[in-house]
Amino acid sequence: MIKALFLKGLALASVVLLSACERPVMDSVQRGYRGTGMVQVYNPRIIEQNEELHAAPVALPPASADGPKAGKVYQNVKVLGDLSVAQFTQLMVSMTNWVAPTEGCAYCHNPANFAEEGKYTKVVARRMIEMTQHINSGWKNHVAETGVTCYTCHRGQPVPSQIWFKEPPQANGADFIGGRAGQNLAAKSVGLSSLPSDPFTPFLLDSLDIRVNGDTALPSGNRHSIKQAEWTYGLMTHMSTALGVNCTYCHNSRSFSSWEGNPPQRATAWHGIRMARELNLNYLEPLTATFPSQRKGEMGDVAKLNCATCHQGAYKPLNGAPMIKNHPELVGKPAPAQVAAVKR
Amino acid sequence: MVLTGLFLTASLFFWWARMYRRAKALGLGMHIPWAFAAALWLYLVLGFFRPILMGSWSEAVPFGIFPHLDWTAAFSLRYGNLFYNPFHALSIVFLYGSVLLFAMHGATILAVTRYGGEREIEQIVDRGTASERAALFWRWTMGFNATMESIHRWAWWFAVLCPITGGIGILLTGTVVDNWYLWAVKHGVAPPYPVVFPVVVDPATVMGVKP
Repeated sequence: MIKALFLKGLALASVVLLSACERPVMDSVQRGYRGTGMVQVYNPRIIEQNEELHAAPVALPPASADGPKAGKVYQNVKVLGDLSVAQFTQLMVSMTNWVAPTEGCAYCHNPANFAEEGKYTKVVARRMIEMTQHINSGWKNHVAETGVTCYTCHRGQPVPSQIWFKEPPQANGADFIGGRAGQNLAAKSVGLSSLPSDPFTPFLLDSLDIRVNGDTALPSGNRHSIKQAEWTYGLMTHMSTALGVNCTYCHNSRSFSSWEGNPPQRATAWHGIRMARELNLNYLEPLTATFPSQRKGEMGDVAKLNCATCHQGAYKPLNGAPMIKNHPELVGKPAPAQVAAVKR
Repeated sequence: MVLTGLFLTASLFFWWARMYRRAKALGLGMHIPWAFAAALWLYLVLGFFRPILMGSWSEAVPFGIFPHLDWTAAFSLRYGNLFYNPFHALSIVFLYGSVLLFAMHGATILAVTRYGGEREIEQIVDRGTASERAALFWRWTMGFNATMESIHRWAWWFAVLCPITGGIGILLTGTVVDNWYLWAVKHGVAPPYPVVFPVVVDPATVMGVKP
């Protein structure tokens, strides 16, 4: 009797304790030298489940470049005027499929007068086209020839699902407890750890130091604190979750700060951090006045992007489908010195 | 937080004093209070000595289950991988060693109970077949055995050295050594590995690009 009760209790306890775990077997892929822990671990069931999410949409047949230009035929065409009417229409239809498939043209346009700027969505959409062109021409060291389109972030939704807002400051506890320094909340943004839950504001909007390690064995003036390391750790946890990879996808397992012996992906990610920061500063924040208040966060700030906005759990967005191959009009004119333009 | 820490420290020290006084009152040796003091050493290094040497209370461990775990990882990340800290390595040896000794000893005594082995103290002064068989078992399996007395000294020292060596390792971190990986490279502890990935330059060091 007691034994049966004990066994039932044991079964219940193991169900409760293991319910948050992913069941084995995992796929592991060795990438570095043997024995150094340079291994990527994938759950094949999660990958299968997300197949649809990471599938690229079917591209519309390419349109002819012949015929009159859109800028001549339509009024108020500011960024895509040198496309032919056929190309212009093809892109507009693609954009509707990518961003507002259920809402249709009227999500951005006044159906009675397509040239009118009455809807904020049209103003935003134009700026987002400029942003896409800028990414594809100015940030090749991150997006390479794969490039991005509206779909990379939007995935058929008017508002991309993976966005972030500034967090309201935490309330102080009772006088003796004090503040929580932005952490200890089991936040989703940092993988339910107790790390600082908004690592985006300091690193993807401001440019505080991400690097906290010293470059000498013995102390030589590096005053970065463990608390600062926790902020960096928060950002890195976000990157790891957003890309569906572990630390060693970019870092070498022996020293996360050393650039010797780490995979080349780390340089791509380095540019990605700068890219996200520049886009948030130059493209999204300036739209604060354009967005209506229901689209803004608690602090009245616009939705901003981070690694997950495009990646959504895949180490290459849409599993690396070459999105701009069919949309050369979304590649802007090369912009010089993109990285240097961003403040530190 | 400082106030909470003060009360926590006070309660731990009162508990130590209680152990000391009760041991004295019963005429025992000081093994228990000294073992507890070894744990207090690590506790004081983490929350008092090291923060003072570093000049900041925010170097101390936070309270809370998840916060202190995240802090532990961040501590290693900040100081260049704690696994290259030799005192950390020693501490792990004594930690896992204690667990192993505890399991071996517990299993041995249970196994020789049928020969009176559970009367360990008697067996120390009057060795019987239980001690002989237990010793012989370990001699056969690993070529070495403890005695009924020395196994308790082994276990005590393993347990006590775990926080003592760990505390030394923590105390040296940030105060004497800033980056344990670079320290290990400098002293030939970290071996070089063959190059597997194409070499990438830190983009922050490329001219004209600010980090």
